[in-house]
Amino acid sequence: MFEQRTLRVWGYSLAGGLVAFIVWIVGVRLVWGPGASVLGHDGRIVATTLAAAASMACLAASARFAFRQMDEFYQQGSRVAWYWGGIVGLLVSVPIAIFVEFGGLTLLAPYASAIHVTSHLTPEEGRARVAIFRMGYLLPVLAQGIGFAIVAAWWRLSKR
Amino acid sequence: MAAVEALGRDIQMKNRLKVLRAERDWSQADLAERLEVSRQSVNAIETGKYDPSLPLAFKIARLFDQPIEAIFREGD
Repeated sequence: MFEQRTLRVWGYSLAGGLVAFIVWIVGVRLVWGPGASVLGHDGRIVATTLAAAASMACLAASARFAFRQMDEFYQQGSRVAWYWGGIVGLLVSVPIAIFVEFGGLTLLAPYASAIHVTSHLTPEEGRARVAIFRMGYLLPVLAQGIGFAIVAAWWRLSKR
Repeated sequence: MAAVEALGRDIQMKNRLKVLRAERDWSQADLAERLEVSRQSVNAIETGKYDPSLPLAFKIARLFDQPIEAIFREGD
């Protein structure tokens, strides 16, 4: 039913996800367990960040293995999907973010309790929440843009 | 001038992969296994939805013991 190659791609992906999850859980338990109090609050933040980075490194490794298992047709499809899917996703997200930032959610659900609560916020609190939303939105957008720029630059330089 | 204009156009490739495969009574899966690619890749190449890379094109040519230009040609 499934080709060996497809099974290997899924195998690497699932194994990577599982290992990444284990690394993250073990890392968090070690860092936030009672025995790690010597790290202090700042140390725990750094160690948790490192655990997240190690977990993502596992995913990156599995993504690399999975990609190398694909034949060129699927590799090309993946490139096209990430390029155009990423661009379309980013472009679509902009009007959505603007809609949310300017309070558009109240148009969709004017009687929702969460929104009702925000109507009691002071202007400063409201602006702070908008700033938090904006930062939350911009982080993945910027990270994706920077990642794209780095890979594009590496590709051009390495092909010289 | 015509050559320059031709360069600006997307070149549509055609191929004889399906005919060559049929001559040998191979299924798409058989050919895919020999080429070490997926069956979907063979199907996409045969239907002209995907143009193989040069290495894969050479591999196909070697497998059928024919020059590349005898298998792949520019479409009309």
